[in-house]
Amino acid sequence: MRRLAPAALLAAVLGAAGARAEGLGFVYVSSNVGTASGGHAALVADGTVYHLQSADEGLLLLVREAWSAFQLVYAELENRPLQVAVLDVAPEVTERVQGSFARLYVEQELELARRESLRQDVAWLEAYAQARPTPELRGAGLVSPEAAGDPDAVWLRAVLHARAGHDSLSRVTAESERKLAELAHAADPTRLEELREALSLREAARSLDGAFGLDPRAVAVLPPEADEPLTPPERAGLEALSTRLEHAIAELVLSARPDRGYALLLAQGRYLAARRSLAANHLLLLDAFAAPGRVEAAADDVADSVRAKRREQAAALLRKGREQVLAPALVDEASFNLLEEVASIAARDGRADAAGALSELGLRKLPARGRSLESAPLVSELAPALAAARARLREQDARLQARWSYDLVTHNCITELARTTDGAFGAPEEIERALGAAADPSDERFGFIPFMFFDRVRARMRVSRVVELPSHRETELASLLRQSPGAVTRLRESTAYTSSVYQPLLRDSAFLLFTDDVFWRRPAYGAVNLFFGLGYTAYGLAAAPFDRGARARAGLEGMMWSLPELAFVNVRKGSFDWVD
Amino acid sequence: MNSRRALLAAALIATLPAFGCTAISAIVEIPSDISAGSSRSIAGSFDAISTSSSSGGDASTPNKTSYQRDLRQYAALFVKGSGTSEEFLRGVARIAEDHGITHWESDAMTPRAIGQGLRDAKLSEADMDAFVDSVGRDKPAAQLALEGYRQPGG
Repeated sequence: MRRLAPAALLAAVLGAAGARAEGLGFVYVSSNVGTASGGHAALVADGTVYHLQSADEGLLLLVREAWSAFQLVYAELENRPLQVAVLDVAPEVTERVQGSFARLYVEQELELARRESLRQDVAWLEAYAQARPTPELRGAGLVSPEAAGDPDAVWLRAVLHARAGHDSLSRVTAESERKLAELAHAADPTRLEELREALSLREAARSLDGAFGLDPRAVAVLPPEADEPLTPPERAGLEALSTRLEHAIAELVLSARPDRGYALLLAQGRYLAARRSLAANHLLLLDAFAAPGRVEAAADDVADSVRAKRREQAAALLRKGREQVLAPALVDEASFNLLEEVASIAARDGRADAAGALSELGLRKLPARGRSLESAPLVSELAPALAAARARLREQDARLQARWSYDLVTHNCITELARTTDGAFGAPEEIERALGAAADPSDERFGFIPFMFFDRVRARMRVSRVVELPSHRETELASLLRQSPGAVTRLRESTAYTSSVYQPLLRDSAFLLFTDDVFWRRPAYGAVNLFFGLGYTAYGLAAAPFDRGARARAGLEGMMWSLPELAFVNVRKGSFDWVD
Repeated sequence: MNSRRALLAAALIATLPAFGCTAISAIVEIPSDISAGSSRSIAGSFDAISTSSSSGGDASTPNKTSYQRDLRQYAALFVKGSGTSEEFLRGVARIAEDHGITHWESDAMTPRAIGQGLRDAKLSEADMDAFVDSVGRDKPAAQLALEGYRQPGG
């Protein structure tokens, strides 16, 4: 068995080889104020980071992201130094561990999908019971019946007839009608997912047959700086995409998949957007963040300079995507979806969080603008059906809570990370052979605390080297001191209000002196910070009528985070809204 | 436990009541962090597409590798449990959509990963043959699934 040089992983963590370097390691993320006060831990494998985060409703869910995105958020924006304990393991071991995390992710996704389906059932039955329109079906709002007879859609229908047969759409319609009749006959309110699929398929066939045009509201509206004319290679890329989509639509029409209605509607919407782009010589992309039930993100409180940088970044990202995906005609579905995501970000003032986090590994957002379609309820007795649907949803919620809910000691970011790592192997001897020791920290008191866990990893597992990665402020400070060494620079950078690197943020709590880069002076600095926090609280109380107590809260938190500093312990490090 | 570590642990335990039980579980809840991380992720994806393309398609993108791994695990899990073929297809669709794919039938990775998952689930050769026959042995998807089953490491 070939042993991998740990240097390969080091190349990845130091960013020298991009995200594809190989290897396995545990990552310790230092603490900072707020919910990060206990520190954090993650596993990095072949450039992918696996870690568990608290999500909505108290669930602890697996997150997967590229190393570069993880480092940006934790080491730079959150300003928390990282340590990576590189394990000396074979590539097969790394792959097995990644398989184990994939299994956890799949289990989690399927449970969440089941809950989503049951929530939909409740919403549909409520709509029937109250004689309201049923909830929107995803994808149906990408095209518009009001735009029937659209010339591009007429052409698409002709192509479809040629490829899949003249009766292909009537066969799909008949298939969905048969299914709807079967569901009506069965009168089983637990089969609403099938009802939605059949309705979606029928609508897809109707829109193709009726040559529905693109709904203009389904398109991401690009700002002028991101809306450049198409280049000849981009036009060729869009032609290739159109051809690809014509094939895909024909294949989907002939497919036996009962859930293909959404895929058909999306392919049709993309085709129409591509044809419109070619006609207008400007790129039109579907809005990937529009979907039934998705609420637009509320405005955040970042500075105008950050907003401007985000806008610039989104426009640059779209240019990059056009160059790397569209111009070389690498228009497979997953790659093209990235372009849609970027257009949706650019259309929202550069807010990439508008529909939740995005990841290089899953978490994609597909255009899914919805529209409500007419449908008859499956049963006449709606009240008991609704009660039963709500009970099923409660059961699923309870199941999720039982399996995925957070617990400080028994089910936190450490315990699940360790369990999943060990779960890649069978017997304890096999774990020992592969990793040197089990990752499970239950044999150690306080092993569930991230830095205790990391100490244990270093002491017991087959660690070849520990790499330290500085926080953003540490890096910037070192660079400043190289350029202008001396006491003046040190003094200026030691306070939050004179630093050229850091801008005080209320979420960091009110403090005057940084204590993360000093040790013996820390208690004295902590005392200064304590008194500063006290004064800031008084100022905050006076300002409370104008800021709803935000400054007073920051002052109180500032005092609290000064207490550990009195005992030589640093938690607070400051954070950043943007790093270049 | 050295004294600094002990102090840090004590400080942590002391501050837990102020933050409830999420102190030992990171939450990235700052919109600007999520936004920046997401943008960086997309930039990385574009780079990976470019790298994969320049290698003649030999290097799979992280998204593709992850799709294959997820689907393989899903197929193995599903076979060990119970469910209808429609439920299986819904699960495939959910995983594919997570990776930006809706027309997963056209992706050769799909049947191959399913075949690998069936091997992981220790499906016998006879059962695999029956599966391939039910799909239609001559279909390219069936052949790819068989390939994945016979070469799970490929």
